[in-house]
Amino acid sequence: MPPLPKSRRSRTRPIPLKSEEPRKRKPRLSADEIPVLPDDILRIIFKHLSSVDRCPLAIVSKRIRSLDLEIGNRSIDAVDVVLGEQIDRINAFVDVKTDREISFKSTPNVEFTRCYDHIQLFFKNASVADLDIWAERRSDERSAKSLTSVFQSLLVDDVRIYMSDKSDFSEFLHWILTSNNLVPKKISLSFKSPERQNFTRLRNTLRNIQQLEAFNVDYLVTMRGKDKDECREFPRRTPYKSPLEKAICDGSTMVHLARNCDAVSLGLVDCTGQHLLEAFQVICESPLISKELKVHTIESVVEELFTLAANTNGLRIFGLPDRGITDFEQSRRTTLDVDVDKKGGVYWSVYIYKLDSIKQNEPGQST
Amino acid sequence: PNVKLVTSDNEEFVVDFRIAKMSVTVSRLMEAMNMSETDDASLLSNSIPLPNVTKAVMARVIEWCEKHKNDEPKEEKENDKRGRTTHVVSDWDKEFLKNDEFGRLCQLMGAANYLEIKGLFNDISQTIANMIHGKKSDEIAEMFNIHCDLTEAEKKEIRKKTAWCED
Repeated sequence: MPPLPKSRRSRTRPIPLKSEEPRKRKPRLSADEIPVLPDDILRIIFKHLSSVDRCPLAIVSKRIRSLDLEIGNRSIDAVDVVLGEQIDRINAFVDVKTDREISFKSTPNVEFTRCYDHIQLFFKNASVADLDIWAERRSDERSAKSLTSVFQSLLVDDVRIYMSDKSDFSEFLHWILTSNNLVPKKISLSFKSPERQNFTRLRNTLRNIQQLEAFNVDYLVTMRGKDKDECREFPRRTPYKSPLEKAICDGSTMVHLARNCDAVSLGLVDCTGQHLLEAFQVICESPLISKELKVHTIESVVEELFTLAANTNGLRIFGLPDRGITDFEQSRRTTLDVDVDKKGGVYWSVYIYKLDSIKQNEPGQST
Repeated sequence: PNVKLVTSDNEEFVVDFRIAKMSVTVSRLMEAMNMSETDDASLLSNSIPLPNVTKAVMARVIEWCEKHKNDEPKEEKENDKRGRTTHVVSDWDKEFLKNDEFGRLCQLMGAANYLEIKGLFNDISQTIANMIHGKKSDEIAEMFNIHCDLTEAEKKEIRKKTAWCED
């Protein structure tokens, strides 16, 4: 039902009976009597508000606006950054449920901070659950710098960077990993045709990773379509021209990541059997109760791994490498599975894992 | 033992020593004036001047303190997971502050701030935050009695730059 016009609404209000006791109410303060709250008190009040409730503060008055920006500390559900050929965009989803979204737009050659005087303040000490960056254009050093200055003091749980064949984001990644404020729990890198990447720089950057819950590398066929399985390159039916040319990680980077991250998935890795055995031992020796590493490699590396394993004391080998699946164990809790992709892939997947096996420890069992 | 508090409009309130101690400001003043719980003469001969609090507001403050004088000191959580300060206002406090219009809440908050009564201050700041919840910018301006010094063009620019609409 549409709302009644004001005049009619007031007429429909019930008239109080004369005998009714008048409501006990203090005389209303006139506007002049409302005390002007000092800045520090207003800051305290605004800190109680959700990011959605703080949106209107931007246009109440200049003073309120600057106080709101000064507080920072917004909580933002997700931030999407698109660095496109024509336009750069930062979308902050303040509240996904109510679709409350704040966006900042700029052109590729102009830094965000030059377009928006308040953008740094908007993201000051903000906490963000997901930060997704889509880098679609060539030469992203400037954009990486621009974003670095925007997100100076962001607190992020999960960072995902999608890179096209034209973009190089090792600079930004380096900043993410070395920034004191931005300490993500998870990092995912998705590449489309990664041959354009400067792998040496990227590997150096990855070797700076200190502690992460999860680190993930994906090879994508298309940039947009992160939720669809079919857009991933693996399992691949045909090998690359030179089989390991698109391997983002090398063996020592892989071992470093296995040591420093709880769950690692790296796609194609340019490593030796010795590296894989080393990664396996790192996981065996880790005090964590669950830890895993997933990589893809080529057959000759798998063969080398099994030759080495056969000559290493304390390892048990199951099956044969050319039959598909082979397990071997060092401790009771760590396993390495090797599998040639059953879906017709030409690369081999190596999965090293240690799972929480408290239930398996029966009482009385010697350790 | 009782303590005498004198408001800006020269009204004298005689309150229990425990209640007087709930205000950090009053505690400090009593200390400075060598007033102690065990020394009745010092309490009788002195009164604490509170030039920033009026009679009406003081009565409300004392009412709140009476209710909370036996509370355990509780630790406020600084920030919740998402960086927001949260304070749970008890049912009694909600009822206590329910009928106060915004201006009176501000007066009471000013007094709680001046007297340094943390619990009351937190209750009111959370209550005011709850009043802002869901309001549009012009409603907030009206509530706080703030004249908007942004021009329509500036507002339009901010809206454009931050691309959210109010409704």
